[in-house]
Amino acid sequence: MIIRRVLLFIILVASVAGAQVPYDRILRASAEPANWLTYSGNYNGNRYSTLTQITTDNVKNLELQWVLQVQQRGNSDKWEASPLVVDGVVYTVRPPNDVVAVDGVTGRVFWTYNHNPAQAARVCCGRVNRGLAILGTTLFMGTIDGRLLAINSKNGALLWNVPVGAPEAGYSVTVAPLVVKDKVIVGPAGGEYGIRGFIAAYSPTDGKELWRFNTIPAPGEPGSQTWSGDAWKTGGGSIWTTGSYDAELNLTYWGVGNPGPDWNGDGRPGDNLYTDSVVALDADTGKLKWHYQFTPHDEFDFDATQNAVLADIPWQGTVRKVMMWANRNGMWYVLDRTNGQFLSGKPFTRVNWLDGFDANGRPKRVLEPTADGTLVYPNNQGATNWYPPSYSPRTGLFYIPAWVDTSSIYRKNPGNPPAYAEGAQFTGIFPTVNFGTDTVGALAANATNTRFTSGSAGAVLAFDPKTGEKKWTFAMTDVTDAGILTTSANVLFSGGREGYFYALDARDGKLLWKTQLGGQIASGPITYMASGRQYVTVAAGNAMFVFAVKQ
Amino acid sequence: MASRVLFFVVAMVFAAGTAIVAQQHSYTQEDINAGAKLYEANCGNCHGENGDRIVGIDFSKGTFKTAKSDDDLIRVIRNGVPNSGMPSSPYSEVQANTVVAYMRSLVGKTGNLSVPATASLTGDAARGKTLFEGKGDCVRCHAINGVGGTSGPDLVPAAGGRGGQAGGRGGVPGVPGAAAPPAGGAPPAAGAAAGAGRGGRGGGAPGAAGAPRGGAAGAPRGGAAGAPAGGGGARGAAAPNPQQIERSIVDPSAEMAAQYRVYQVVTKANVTARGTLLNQDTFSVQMRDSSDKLLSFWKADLKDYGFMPSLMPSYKDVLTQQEVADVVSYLISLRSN
Repeated sequence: MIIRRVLLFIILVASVAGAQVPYDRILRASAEPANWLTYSGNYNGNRYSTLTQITTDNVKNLELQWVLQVQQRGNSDKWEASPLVVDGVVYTVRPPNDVVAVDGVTGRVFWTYNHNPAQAARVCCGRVNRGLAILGTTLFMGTIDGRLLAINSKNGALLWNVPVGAPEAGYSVTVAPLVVKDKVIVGPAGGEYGIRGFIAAYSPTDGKELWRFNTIPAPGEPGSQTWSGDAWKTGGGSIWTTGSYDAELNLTYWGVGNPGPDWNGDGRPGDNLYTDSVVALDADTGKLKWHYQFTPHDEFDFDATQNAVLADIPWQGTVRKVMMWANRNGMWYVLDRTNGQFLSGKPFTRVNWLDGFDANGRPKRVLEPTADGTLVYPNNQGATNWYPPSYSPRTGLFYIPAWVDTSSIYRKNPGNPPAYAEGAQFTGIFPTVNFGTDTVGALAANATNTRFTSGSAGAVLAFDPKTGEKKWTFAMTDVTDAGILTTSANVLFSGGREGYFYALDARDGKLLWKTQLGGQIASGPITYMASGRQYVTVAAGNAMFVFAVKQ
Repeated sequence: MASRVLFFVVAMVFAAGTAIVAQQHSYTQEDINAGAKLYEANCGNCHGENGDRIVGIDFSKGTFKTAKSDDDLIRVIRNGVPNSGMPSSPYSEVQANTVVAYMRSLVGKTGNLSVPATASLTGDAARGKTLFEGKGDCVRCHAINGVGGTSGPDLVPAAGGRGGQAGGRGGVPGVPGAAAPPAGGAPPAAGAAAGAGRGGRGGGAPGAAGAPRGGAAGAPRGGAAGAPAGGGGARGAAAPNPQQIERSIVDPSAEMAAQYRVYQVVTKANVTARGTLLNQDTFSVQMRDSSDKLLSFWKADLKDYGFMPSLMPSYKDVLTQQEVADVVSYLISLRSN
């Protein structure tokens, strides 16, 4: 009944007024699963949908409905954006920074907005963008040349365009913004360029900065005692995955990137807060409520740039407001999100850089880069990375896209960290990246895979957060940069570098359906409903693909 | 077979719209050292330690997308490439020049192949021919100019063409594109991973068994081991060098690039296919069989699949070091004829 009323509402709105997304709709996004109103689908960051038209029985009948292709693509571009869907209209970003509004049923384009990034733009790892935010009829996009843009969702007209950080100094914006109430929150990427990171809120009407939290504190600010000398000025702490939000606590949670320089910490003694941490900020003021640092004094590039997944779960007898976090450093964590208390931290793949935790949840680190090289599990790309995990309240399982048993060898010139130069990379000696038992060039987008071993390299892992127990593994031959979507019909969608888009049974990991899309999947699938039909979409290679059950 | 692979590799390089650019400037060791620092700091993150991580670009082969000269490279480094992932940089022309110097020094870098002791021995081609046909009984499997066995690859194909030296099964490593196979075992990094990684899977407790202190597991500078892929390329278009031939005689089962190993699948209907593995993923494998047919299988339809050990026996304990050197000399003399 409710669904029918929502549908009717949708049809009316779509045909008459165009997209209208007041804050209240985003806040209650889970109540209208036909739409996908924010990066993770809702503020919990769980990428879980209650749409049930696609089931474990009929998912095998999915068929391609339409494809949206990139028009201009650079060599290192990857399509990482999660689309938004508002009342039947799909909004997404084609690499590098082209916004497009598409009809969710036919795939026909309503309008496009092309942003040509300044040539000064510097990105470490490809010209990527992870998506948009919407408030009212305004879309917000960060750009690789360090700007935040507001675009009219009805006609693609630019409303305003403000700087977030200087591109010539390595500041870029790749994260999908997060709208909370009357603020648009973003932060800059650039952790390989010695930026000084921050999270900032902007006015949706004119782009004016309303508050700023420095992820690297200046002398005198809380946390500054974890730096020495001028190291904080180039301390990194980038932002490149979208935060989560708990309206009841009015806290927004953001993961912070690596310290600079990445692989030699000798010039920045101390823990280097708030790098590799989750910070809980007051959404109205940006004031820090609490933090937890996953990797103190990091020299392995273990950015904490993953989704904070919020859930209320039974924990040792009581229901607790927790945050689940699968970290690049190979550990997955359960924290109390009201106060940051460490509840558990467990490896989800081979990990050798720490030897457990102290009573406060601080990791006991046992390895550092050396002149001759140090073998570290997981590898520099991480046991997981920015690609989103999922949590299904239906199964109670936490799903992690993982690189299994990979390692890197880290070297540094002890006592001789690299010198900073504006706009130049500020990293140290790049590590080797090893996959399983051989070193095929799997980082190349089109590399064929002729590994010696049949062992897996990528996987979807399912954990029970209550017990820490691993429930199942779906192993892939190649590694994965694909996010995960789950639904209340117990369908799990994901993919990987091999180009398969597939559906698993969320309960046991059994393969239900797959299709080969011919390009690596480096995005998170989402689902929506339009004209009474459930669609599921994922970007792979140069295109976004949209499926529905055959009628 | 090998020559066809060679041709394929060369064709791919050109098909991809890339060009091999020869070095024009001359550089001092100081230039190279200075450039190495800048490269490490700025370039390697994307291009990789060996300059071969981005498709269509390989510094170790002098392969670039747009650059036609060293001056072009300096321009690209300083200005970047519009609408691509290549950003501009704040380097002066002098600094960019040192980066080019370093990039040029990568050409021909061969990684850390251990060179067999006998390679320095002087072989005698005539004695080698006698050994090849007699004591070594190599002709039982290998043909020279069409004369000899067929179960091993022709070492000098009858239908002419050079560079056919021992490809295919149990063949000679180090042909172009082949990841230079370490003679004495897997690359250190990979080896450590192989040993420790499997045990760790499933368990994975922090600081658990296996090299908690990195580096402990043998030579930690694994980077070089990954390097060799590049070494081949243009250079490898010539036949394998004496060390490589020697290694294929004394240690034929050493791991070599997948395309030079025999891959076998057995279907559930008990049909067996053997050939070269071309690709594989979670659900399928693609290969070229011994009659050059392109085959693809769903793994779900297979009873068994994987690499076979080399059929070539090791001559380590059959021939003396001098005799191996003689055979190597003989094979090389065939090539120059």
